[in-house]
Amino acid sequence: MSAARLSAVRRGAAVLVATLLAASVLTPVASAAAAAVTKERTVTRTAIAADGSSTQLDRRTVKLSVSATSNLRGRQEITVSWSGAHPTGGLVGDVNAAEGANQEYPFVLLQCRGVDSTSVPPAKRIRPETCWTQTWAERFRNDNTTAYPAWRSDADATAAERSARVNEASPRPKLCGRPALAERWVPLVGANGTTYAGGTVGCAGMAPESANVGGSGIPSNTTYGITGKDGRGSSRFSVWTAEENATLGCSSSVPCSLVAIPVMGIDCDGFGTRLPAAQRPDAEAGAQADADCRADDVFAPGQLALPGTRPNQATAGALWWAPSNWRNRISVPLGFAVAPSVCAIVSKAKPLQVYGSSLMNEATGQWQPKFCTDKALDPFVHVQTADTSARTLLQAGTISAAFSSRAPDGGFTRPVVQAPVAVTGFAIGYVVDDANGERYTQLRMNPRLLAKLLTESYPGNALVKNSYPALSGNPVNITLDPEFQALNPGLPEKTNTEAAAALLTLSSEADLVYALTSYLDQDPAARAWLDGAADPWGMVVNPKYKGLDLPVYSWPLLDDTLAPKSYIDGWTNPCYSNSPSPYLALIANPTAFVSTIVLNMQYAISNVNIECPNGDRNDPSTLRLQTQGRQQPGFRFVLGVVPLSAVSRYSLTAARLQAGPGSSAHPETASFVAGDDTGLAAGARLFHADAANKTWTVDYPALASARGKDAYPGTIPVFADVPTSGLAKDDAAKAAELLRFAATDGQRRGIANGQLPPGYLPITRANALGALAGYTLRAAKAVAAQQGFVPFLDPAQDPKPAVVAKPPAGAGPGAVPGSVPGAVPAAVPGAPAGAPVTLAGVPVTDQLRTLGAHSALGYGVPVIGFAGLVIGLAGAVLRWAPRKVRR
Amino acid sequence: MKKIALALVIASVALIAPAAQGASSHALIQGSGSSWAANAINQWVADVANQGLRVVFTANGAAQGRKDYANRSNDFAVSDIPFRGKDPTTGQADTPLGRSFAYLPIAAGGTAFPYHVEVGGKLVRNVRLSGETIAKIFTSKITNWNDPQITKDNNGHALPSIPIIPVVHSEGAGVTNQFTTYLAKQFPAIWASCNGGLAKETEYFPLNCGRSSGNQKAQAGSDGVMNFIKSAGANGSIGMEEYSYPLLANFPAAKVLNKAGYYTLPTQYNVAVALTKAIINNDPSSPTYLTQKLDYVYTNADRRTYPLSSYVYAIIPTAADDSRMTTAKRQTIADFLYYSICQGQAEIGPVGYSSLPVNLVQAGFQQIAKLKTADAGVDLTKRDVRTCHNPTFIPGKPNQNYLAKIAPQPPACDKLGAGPCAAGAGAFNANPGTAKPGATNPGTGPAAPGATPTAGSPGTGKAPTTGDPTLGDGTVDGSDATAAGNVVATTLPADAGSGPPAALTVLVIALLALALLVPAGVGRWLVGRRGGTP
Repeated sequence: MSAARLSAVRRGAAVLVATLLAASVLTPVASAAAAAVTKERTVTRTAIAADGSSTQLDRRTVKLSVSATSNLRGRQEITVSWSGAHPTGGLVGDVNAAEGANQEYPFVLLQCRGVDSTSVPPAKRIRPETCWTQTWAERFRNDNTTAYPAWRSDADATAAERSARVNEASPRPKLCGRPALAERWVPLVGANGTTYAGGTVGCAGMAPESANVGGSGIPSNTTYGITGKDGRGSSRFSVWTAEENATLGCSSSVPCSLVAIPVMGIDCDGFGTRLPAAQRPDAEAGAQADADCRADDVFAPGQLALPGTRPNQATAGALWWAPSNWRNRISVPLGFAVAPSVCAIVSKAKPLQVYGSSLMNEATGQWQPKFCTDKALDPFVHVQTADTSARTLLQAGTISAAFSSRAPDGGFTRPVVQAPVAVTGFAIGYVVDDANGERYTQLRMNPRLLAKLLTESYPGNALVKNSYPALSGNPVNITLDPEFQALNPGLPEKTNTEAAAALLTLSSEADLVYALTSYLDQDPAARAWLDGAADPWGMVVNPKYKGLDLPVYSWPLLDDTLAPKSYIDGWTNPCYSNSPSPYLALIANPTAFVSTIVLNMQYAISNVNIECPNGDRNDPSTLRLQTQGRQQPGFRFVLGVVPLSAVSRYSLTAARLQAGPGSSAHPETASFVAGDDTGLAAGARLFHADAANKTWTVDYPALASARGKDAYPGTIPVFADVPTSGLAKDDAAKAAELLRFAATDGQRRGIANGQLPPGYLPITRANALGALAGYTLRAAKAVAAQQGFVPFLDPAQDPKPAVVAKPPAGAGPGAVPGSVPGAVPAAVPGAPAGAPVTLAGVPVTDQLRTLGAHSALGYGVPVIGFAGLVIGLAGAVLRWAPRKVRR
Repeated sequence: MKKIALALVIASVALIAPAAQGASSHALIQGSGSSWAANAINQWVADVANQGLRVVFTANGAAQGRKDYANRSNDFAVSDIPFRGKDPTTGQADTPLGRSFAYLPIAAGGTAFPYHVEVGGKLVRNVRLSGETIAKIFTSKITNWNDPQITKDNNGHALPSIPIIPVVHSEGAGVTNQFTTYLAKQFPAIWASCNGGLAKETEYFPLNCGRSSGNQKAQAGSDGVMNFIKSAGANGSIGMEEYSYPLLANFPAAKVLNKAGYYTLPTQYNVAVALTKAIINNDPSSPTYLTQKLDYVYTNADRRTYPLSSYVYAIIPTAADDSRMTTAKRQTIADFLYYSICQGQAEIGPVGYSSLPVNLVQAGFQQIAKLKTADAGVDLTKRDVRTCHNPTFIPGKPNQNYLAKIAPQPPACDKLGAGPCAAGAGAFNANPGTAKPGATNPGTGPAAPGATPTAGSPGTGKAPTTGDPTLGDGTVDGSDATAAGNVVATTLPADAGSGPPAALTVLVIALLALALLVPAGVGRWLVGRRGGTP
């Protein structure tokens, strides 16, 4: 074979590789954003007199808007908002609890199996029997005081539905007791056809996902939404797939709907004019039934529920299934994403364990399934632990790889590469309701406000304010702080919400906290305030924190003041009196798990740990302080530090943060930046390339300067720290593979397996991060080689021996590296492996032992061999084909 | 030639086609209980998410977890102890209310004693205590860190006068039960004098020995206990918590004296060694099958023993008519626990737990099998010890624990009457086999004097510092710190067979040969057709 022919074969191979590259770049990214759906419907309530004439009592035009309805994933939260509905009365704290059904005129949201169309067979249509509720009480009513409760007066119901006992379990289980005068059962029909009749306390059977008692775990998604006096309201709705609720059984193949029922009240036909004569109540009973059905409401719109007070039955949410209410429904079809392929339960492959940063949780969550389903890749697990602890373990040589965001102080004492694998950050998550009781989405925060929350400088409640002289001049909580009000005008002031005096943060050590506290430390206003200068409104730092040295890896709890002696001795809070401890620390109450903070920000759960329900001074086992728990919609205020990637995944809201310099007197004039791609990209542009330590750092002075005014100040890089000497060959190969993936395919944005979820800025040339991606690829080689070499930040400084030119073997055609958008030169390996002639000259098996997959001879070899064959053939044919045409 | 190429294509496609996924379906399961085990369980919950398993775990304390189980408001519970009828001390009812159940161990760990003692504004990180000293501290008989008995524990090195603040759990906690069981067995007189005359265990610690005031503090949950100990006002405090909590918070835990006269930490090795003396109920017909008796763990004479080592258990419903169960939920419980007791064991060593030995894993599989007995639809194919990668396994010796075999000996400075060692010595939790050959052994790994990596001590609010104060001269004597025996890391037979099948090897060789020959052949053929060189 001549040299000319050889080069032609190589050209052919190059063409093929380029085609593969283009194809993989052009692969469509799963569309994450789904368009919102808006629907409108006129709803009415009517009453029918004894003579059969009807009067319209109420008529409204309800508009419904749903934020996302397609490509949904399990436990995804969608936002449902509405206007034009009847205002709700008898408000409850938890709109997802069964008690919510006792509100008058709630806006009921349900997830139901089926679609709302007459063009499908009846079995596939929605009906109350296919709608999920968590408790029996939401689908069973009985009455022993009258035979004609409101649901029997329903003008829209059929005669059968208006009989004394409807859908009663047959035979009636003994457990269900004797029948009441009137009973209405609404059985639940499961996806597999099983019918759960329900009844009192579920006596005739309940679905396995039902709760017997209010308990632990995730709340129900059935929502008794609250409509404000202006007719508007909104709620988050958590959609479930068959994975969360098999009885409901929604999936990409089983269609389901979101059903909104604006409860208007029963269309009253108490006299039974629409019933056959034989079934009508007598005159006296009819008049009573009519009066009952048209009774006045018990609660005024907006009024809170009173313990023990029963609502007007005819307008309560408990009758959501009554035909009068059901006919007013607005339904929206929900489309579910195809469940991604998942890792096999049983696997012989021993995964690489990477310890460390919780900032990587969402990324590794999407990468892992790719690694365990793609034969070209070896599985890994991400073991979350404190960043500092992961570095210490790595330093000691006891783990093989760690995710962390900083070098250890003083640097690693052994050769370790810090390869950038993600650019993400921290976020200040919140749930705050505005003056209308609706969720506020424009929150702005600055370093001084964050410092005020973290330093326990707001008293939190009157107890502390009145007894702690050093803090008595400070606002009780952030909502009363003029600085907060300047940034967030119009939010309601709260006088007794301890949660508004705290920023929930981690108690375990984390680089995320280090980044947050670096941000506080660099802001001149925040720093001056921490050092004792009052803010322009006179608020001062808690003296225990004055002069606090920052940054830190975990926020210290420095205030050791107990509640006043009179409070302790008074035993009004027996849990506290039993064991008094620093009171403000109970308000701050940091937690060991990021997942707890995320959950609290998702469900507006206050972590303030000062409640003592059922505390009995004489029974020590009851004397346990408890957290305040879920806040009442309309009155919510919680703040917490979360990873940026959790914001999108769990539909949290996150504050915009002051970027660049601020003004102490006019904090609202500063620039505020969100943690979106633009903000992260601007933040990443300010990364400092630390050539001496071979890493990139966040340049906090630059962020705090005018250069940082477009940069999201929470931007944080995450590195995979991997030793380049001393690793077992197997671990080194797996770690190198992970690095190569993280620098290429793993930076492609999307919510499918192997892609980079929202909340991370892709490390690509397009985002001006090509140098980081290139470094990670060079790091992969150094890790694979295990020669103790740590690449320089500047590739020109790297030595150029043969070892650097080694092709990444073990990567089959399905995982051609270098398909990074904005390809990094070093990442195009095709040529050496692709040219059949050179193959003989390269010690292939040797490479594979170093870099290959599961075993010495895995599937990598045949794949490469096959690729070489195809490319060789293609090259030969390509070379030949044009000549033939020319002839 | 063409035909051969086609055949190769087919063969290759067949080789790289992904294996079919298991068809069994899953459903969300909810568990609650032990915060002692929560750091391990939370990790497993995160791991199995990518297998399509949805698990929600609420760490509300073992007592509450068992109550939730009895009330049928969870699908499984996690508890350090079985249902006992009633708490032996408080008389609190503790029954499953008729719900069927089986226990299976899911992890081992050590009850550690994190403390907060500052000298000159810096955390002391190398305090050692004997069991008796600890017993007297938590019964308020020793109330100051300068107590002669503490000085003796630290080989004559005295701490300054700082009042001791013992911190206990205010909720019914498994860790309280573990600790009070130890006190009741080892120091019955001291404990009974504090516990109303009863030398019995309890989940509810009698705060200040039942007196209305005293130096002790009760805090809610593991977060509450750790938050209190870390807080600035808590100088002098000492609590009890699973070892992973002080590790996560980078806070020191006291070394505890064992029967052999060494002060040790609850590393995965020392816990594994200690638990070789645990007595497990081996009667499958007993309702408390697999539950533990730790009397001989406390007194294990091996120098590497950490005396307060124990197992933690999952409680699962076994009845065919359990009202919360479906096939999909049982499958999820089975697969979640399979992961937990198998692969899940491999990763928890460095974060502060220890792995289950193979005999308990095997027994665990028998318990999981009860889910299939209850419901034939549950698929347990291939879910067995051969796919476990559990670091404790030694083939053919199911009763031995590899971790215990290779556990490093404590350094000489940890001996009663010697030392004390510098902070960090004997503290590390290496995974076996990950350290490079010739590296320092995990027991003393990073503890070279002066090079101890200590990141931020939160109590002082200071960024990473070096040179935390230590008691004594902080010497590390590694001469005694060699691993016992020369056990070679091995795998179970099935794993050993995971290499390339013969057919694959042959195919690979054939492919390589063809890869070299075919292009040349094709090229020659094409050239031949065109007649002559270009």
